[in-house]
Amino acid sequence: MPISYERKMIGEGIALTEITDQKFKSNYINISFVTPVDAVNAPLNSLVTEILACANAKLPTLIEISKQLGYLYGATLATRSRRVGDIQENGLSIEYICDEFTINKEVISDKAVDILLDCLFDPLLENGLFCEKYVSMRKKELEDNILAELNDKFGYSTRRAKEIVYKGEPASISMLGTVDNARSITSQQLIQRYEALKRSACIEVVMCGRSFDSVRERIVTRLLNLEREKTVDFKYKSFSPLKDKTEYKYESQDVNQSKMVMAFKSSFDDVYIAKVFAAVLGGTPTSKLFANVREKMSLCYYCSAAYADMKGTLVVSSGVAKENIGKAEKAVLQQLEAVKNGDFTEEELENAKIYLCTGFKSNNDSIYRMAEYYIVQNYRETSYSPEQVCNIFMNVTKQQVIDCARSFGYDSFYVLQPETEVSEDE
Amino acid sequence: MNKQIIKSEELDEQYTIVHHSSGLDIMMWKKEDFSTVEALFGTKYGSINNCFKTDDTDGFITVPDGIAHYLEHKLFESDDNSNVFDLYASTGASANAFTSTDITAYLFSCTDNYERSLEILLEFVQSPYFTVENVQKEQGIIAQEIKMGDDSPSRKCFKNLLKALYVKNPLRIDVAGTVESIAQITPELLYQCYNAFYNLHNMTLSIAGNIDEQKVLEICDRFLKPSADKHLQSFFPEEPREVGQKLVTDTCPVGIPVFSIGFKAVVSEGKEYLKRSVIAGMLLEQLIGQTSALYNQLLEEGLINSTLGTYMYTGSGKYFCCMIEGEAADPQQVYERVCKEIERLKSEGIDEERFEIDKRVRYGEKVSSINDVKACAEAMLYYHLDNEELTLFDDLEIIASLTVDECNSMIGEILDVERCSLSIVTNKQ
Repeated sequence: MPISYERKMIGEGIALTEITDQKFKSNYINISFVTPVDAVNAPLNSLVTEILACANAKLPTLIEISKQLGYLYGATLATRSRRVGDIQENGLSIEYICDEFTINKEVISDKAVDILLDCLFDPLLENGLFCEKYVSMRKKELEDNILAELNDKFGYSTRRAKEIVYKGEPASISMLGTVDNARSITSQQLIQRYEALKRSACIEVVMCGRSFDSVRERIVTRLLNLEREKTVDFKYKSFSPLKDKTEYKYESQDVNQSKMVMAFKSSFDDVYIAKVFAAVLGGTPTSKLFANVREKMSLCYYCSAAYADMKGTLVVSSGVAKENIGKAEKAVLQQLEAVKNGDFTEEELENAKIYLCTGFKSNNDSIYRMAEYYIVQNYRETSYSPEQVCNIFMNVTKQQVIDCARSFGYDSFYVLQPETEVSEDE
Repeated sequence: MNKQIIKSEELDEQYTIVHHSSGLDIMMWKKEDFSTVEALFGTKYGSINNCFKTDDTDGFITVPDGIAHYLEHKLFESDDNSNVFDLYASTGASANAFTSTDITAYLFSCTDNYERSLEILLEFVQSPYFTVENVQKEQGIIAQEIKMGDDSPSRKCFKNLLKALYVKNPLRIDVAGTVESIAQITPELLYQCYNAFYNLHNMTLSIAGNIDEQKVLEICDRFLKPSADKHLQSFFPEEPREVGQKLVTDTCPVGIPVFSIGFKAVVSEGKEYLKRSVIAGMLLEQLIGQTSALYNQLLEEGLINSTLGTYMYTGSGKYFCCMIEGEAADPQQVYERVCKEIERLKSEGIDEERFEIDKRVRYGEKVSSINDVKACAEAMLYYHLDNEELTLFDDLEIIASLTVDECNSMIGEILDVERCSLSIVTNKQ
């Protein structure tokens, strides 16, 4: 059976997307609250969903939820908190194997879906507030997560770079906040935020897997029982303005390798041409950056470009030795200039397009990637299939790529570098 | 050419193993309706194979640390100065390679024209080209890779744990080697290693997706270069049962300390190895899995957070460890609580209800894992290179027949508190 895709609004600000394909042996359902990012609510939103995943009125402890998930053949309940440009999504998802593949075809899908719905909409409350035990536990965990940001150098440097690149915009706000803020969050704030999310956040339901015939009504009924108000209006796409002058930021730590991030911005408004441009410049193992900056010049272990279409921003990331930072920056700018000047062959262009098509078509083979793919289509306010996107890619011309490249200006530079002194050659 | 079909009635899945006349074992899993084809060409060669002999060597020879990984990087270059990635570019395949402690594999993933990508894969892996110039050029890039690894506290913690657990086993050696050891690598050494370990008798091809098995075999017939079995033998020094160090600490810029606890157990092979792996996984779940009292107590007390995880680190006949890792302000206290809980499990036995639940979890994990072409191709390769006697579906039978008594009888040996090490990485004061 071919893949089927359907998206519809089922209530005030509630969208249901259903993607089915008989080749899958498991199902995935994600329900997220979607809101604009703001510094006060960002940590509250993620904390609320973490608390919701701990317990519900029917399964009042984390251990009971874990056991029930285990009994359902290891169904996975997960929290999902992420930012897309100036927007954030916070929610829960469940993945479970289809009834056809349980031992003796035991029916588990309704029980799995109930765990998800009960956690989201029938939480464990004590005197009208979330269970204090789980509030404390998740607040402590939020503190740990804030402190642990330093543990992952790549993630840390990316977050710090965003503070420079998107200065003054919601996209620069930390989703976790500060330790002091985490400690000061009250149970009252959390329950109020939860009620506000249920009432007025957009709700995105995405189901991807073999079939949802036996559970669809259960989900829709539960969502339609929510008391809803007019939802908060927002747009996913919000291009970041180019700075008048490139902003430079150097940060030193006790690290061995420097992480260099360069951001370029444009108001060029065709995501697929921009993606081809990013692939030609630094999105494939034969791209300009990989072939020249890494392979020919041996300046870095990795050097790649990615385009953030909601912000109109191209980000080049690189792992370099401290003494090569200046050379690497210059080399990246030279390669960008080469693309602007049309210094790439039709073959290079064709290869970049084919490479992108492989990535897009492979989305068809995973319930997660397929769900993510259509979530992103929704951000773009389109509903193209991966194959349709590939057709668009294949029709992109060299001149379009050149025009796109020329529209980008150099916005910001950030580097996390070792503290040790080196003989700079910059 | 000898062909076997490996089938699972419960999962409604099957794959094929062909013992090709060239010496290569070929694993094929046809997954109709999937868009992707995933292929891995792997050899039983990793960082632990640093001392070996073949019919061509004069006894055992020892090579510099990190050479298997170095060789993997260099195999992407050819004598006409072209790059393998340039060849793949025309098919749209996404290609990569990796080296672990005991496996090196070259892989591609594509959605169209898998036949041409397979030809490229077979051709380049069988065509080494090492020169003084191209070997030297790679040193800078690999040194950067080593430095990147050194900046990861969790990786540092894990590497230190292996060094603490093992006294002589080359598992102690980092896969990438050191900046000093890779400086000793020469084209001659690379050819020596290549000729020993990239012999088709030591290799496996694994391919999954919407493939035509006959076409795959035709391509193999055309591209495989038969080689005589050179009777390769790796030397592994005898490893004492005891660990080298009970506690190892290190520093790195971290916001919260990271820790790893490892339990060193007896090695085994064949079905016994698989059964012990299943039991070990279930014992870790009983000890500190999400349904355990200990995990929930530590979480509620704020001693751990949900980054805590467990896994098995095993190689058939070579090493066998149970690992616990995570972030904690006071790893020593977590370690002590873990040891105390093991003593309780030894005297009271495991929880029978949770044991039955865990059997269902493992069955479900197996179903989910074959939902994905990439996972199927990887699993076929790993199982086969780790132990040729095992098939991907053998563990289903083991799980179904496993008893509580069998698990209880293994607690003391698999989770031996006398043979365990704690590795901690804290912030520099």
